[in-house]
Amino acid sequence: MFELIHRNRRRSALLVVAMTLLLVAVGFFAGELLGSGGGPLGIVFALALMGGLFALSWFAGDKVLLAASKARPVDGESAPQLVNVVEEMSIAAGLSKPPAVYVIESNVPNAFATGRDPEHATVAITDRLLALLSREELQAVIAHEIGHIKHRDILYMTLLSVMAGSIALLSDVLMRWFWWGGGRRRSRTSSDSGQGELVLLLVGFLVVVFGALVARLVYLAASRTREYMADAGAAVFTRNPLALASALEKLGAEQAGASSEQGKTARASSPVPPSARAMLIVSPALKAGAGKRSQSPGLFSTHPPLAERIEILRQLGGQPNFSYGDYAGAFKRVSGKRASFFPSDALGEGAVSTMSFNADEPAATELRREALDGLRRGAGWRLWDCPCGARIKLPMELDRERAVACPRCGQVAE
Amino acid sequence: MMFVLPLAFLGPVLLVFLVVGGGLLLVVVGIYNGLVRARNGVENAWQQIDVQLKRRFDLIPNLMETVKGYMTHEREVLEGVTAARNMVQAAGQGTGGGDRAAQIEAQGALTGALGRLIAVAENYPDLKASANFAELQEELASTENKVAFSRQFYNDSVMSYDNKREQFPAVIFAGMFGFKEEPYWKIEEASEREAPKVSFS
Repeated sequence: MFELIHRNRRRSALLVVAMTLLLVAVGFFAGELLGSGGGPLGIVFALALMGGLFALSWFAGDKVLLAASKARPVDGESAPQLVNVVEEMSIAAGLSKPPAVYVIESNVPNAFATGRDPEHATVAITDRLLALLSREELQAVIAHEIGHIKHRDILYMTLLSVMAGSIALLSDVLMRWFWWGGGRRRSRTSSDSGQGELVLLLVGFLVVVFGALVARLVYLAASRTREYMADAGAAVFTRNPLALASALEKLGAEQAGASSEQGKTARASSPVPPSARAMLIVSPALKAGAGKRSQSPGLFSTHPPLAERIEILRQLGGQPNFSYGDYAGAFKRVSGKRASFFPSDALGEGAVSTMSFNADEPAATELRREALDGLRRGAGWRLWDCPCGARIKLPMELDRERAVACPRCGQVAE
Repeated sequence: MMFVLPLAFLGPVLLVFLVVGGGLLLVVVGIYNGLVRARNGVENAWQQIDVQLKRRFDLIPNLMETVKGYMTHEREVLEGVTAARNMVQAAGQGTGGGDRAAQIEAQGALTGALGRLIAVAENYPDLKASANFAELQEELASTENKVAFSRQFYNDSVMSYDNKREQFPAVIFAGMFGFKEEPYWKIEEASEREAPKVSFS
C-alpha cells in the first residue's frame, strides 16, 4: 500500500511534466500563430493561465465544487453512521485525520472525494446513495473515496484537469480568432516569409488543434486507471471486496434505471457540475444495460466499465487472501489487458486476508434475529421485507387492514 | 614541490574514490531513512490501537447507563462487561503503560463481553424500540470496528516495514542499524474466537 503511493507520486510527477511540456508547446505555437515572435509571450501566457487556474482550485476548488453541488456538512450528531464509517475507513487507511463529510440532497446515488491532501480533504455522498446501501456497502464506498485521498488522486486529478482545461481554452480561443478572420492578415504577411516558417505554422496549427484532444485523452485515461486503483484500495482497507461489488451493482442499477425511466441526460443525473464528473464513484452517464459486460472502455469515458470493476472485485472475493498483485491478476483475467498502471513494486506487497463476509456464515446476532422472527411468525405476527431492505415486524394485535408505511423509505406495505 | 607531485598523482584516484564513496553513502542514507520512516509508521499505528481502545474504555460507563434500566434480567451479562472493563483497567488501560500481554488478554475479554451484551439486547423489545438503542448499537459497532481497523492498519504497517527490512539491499544494513522484526497482532484472533463460547444462560 505504501509503496504504491510512493511510486504513484513519481509516475504522476512524470505525467504532469509531460502535460506541462504540451502546454508550453501549445502556448508557444499559439503565440507564433498570432504574431511572428509571439511564442515566448504565448508560453508565459499559457503558464500564467494554468498557474492562475491551479491556484484557484488549490485554495477554493473543493469549496466551489461543494457549493455548486449544494452539499451541506454533517457531523456525528446529524449523521452518526456516516461519520463513524468515514472515521473507521480513515483509521484503516492510516490517514492522519478523517476528511470532512458532506451530504448532497439528490435523488441520484453517487459520491466523490475532493480537496488537495489528506489534511484538506472532503468526501461527499448523495442522500439517495446513503439510503440505498447497507452499512458494509457504505463502508466500501467510503473506502473507495478514502482510497482517492490516500493515493493523492484528489490533487493529481485536479492538476491534470486544470492543465487539460488550460490547453483546451487556449486552443479554443485561437480557433475562434482564426474563424473570425484574425488569420487573414497574418497569412498575407507570411506569404513573403520562407518555407521554414510555413512548416512551423503548419506544425503549430496541428499542435494547437490536437494538443487539446491529446490532453483530454490523457486526463480521461488517468481518471480511469485511478478508479481501478481506488477500487483496489477499498478492497484492501475493508478486506471486503464483495461489499464494494454489491454497492457498485446497486449504484449501477439505480442510475441506469433513473436515466432511462425519466429520459434524463447525464447532466440531469449528475449531482456535480459536468467538469467534475470524473470525480464521482460511478459515471453519471451510465446507460440502461450498463451492468452488462459488453462495452469496451471508451476513450472518452471518465470511468472504466462498471461491470468490469464488479467482476474484478467478485474474483477477489472468492479468495481467502489477496494482494494488489491479485487485483492486477484479476484485472488481467477480466479485461484481457495487463494492469500496467499498477506500479510493479507495489505488486510485491504481501497478501491480506479477506473477511468472512455475509452469505455463508451469518453472525450470532443474525442467527438470533432469524430465530426470533420465526417465533413471531408462529405467534401470528406479520413480517414484511420492504424493497429498501428494512424488515418491518407488525405485532398480531395490529389491525390487518391498516396501511403501514416503511419508516425508512416511506413505501406503503400491501 | 614535495607535496604537489603525490597529490597530482593521487588526484584522479581520490576523486573516483570520493564520488563512489559519496554515492554509496547517499544510498545507505536513503535506505536508513526509509527504514526509520517505516518503523515510525509501525510505532504510530500501535499508538492508534491504544487511542481506539481508550475510546472504547471511556464509552462503556455511558453504555451501561443506557441499557441498565431495560435489561434487568441480564445481571450476569452486564456484570461481565463491568468485570472485563475492570480487568482492562487493572492491566493498565487509562493509567498508561502496564503489561502488554495482560492488556491484550483483558481487551479480548472486553470485546467478548460487549459482543454478548449486543446479542442479548436483541431480546428486549422496549430497548430495541427506544431511539437510544439504534444509536447505541451503531456507536458500539463502530467502536469495535475502529479497534479492529486500527489493528489491521498496525499489521499493514508491520508488513510494509518487514518487506522493506527484508529486501535486498536494505537487509544488509537493517541488522547493522538495529532494525528488529516487529510482531504482528495475532493474539486478537485467538482470544476473540474463544470469547463467544461462554455460556449465555
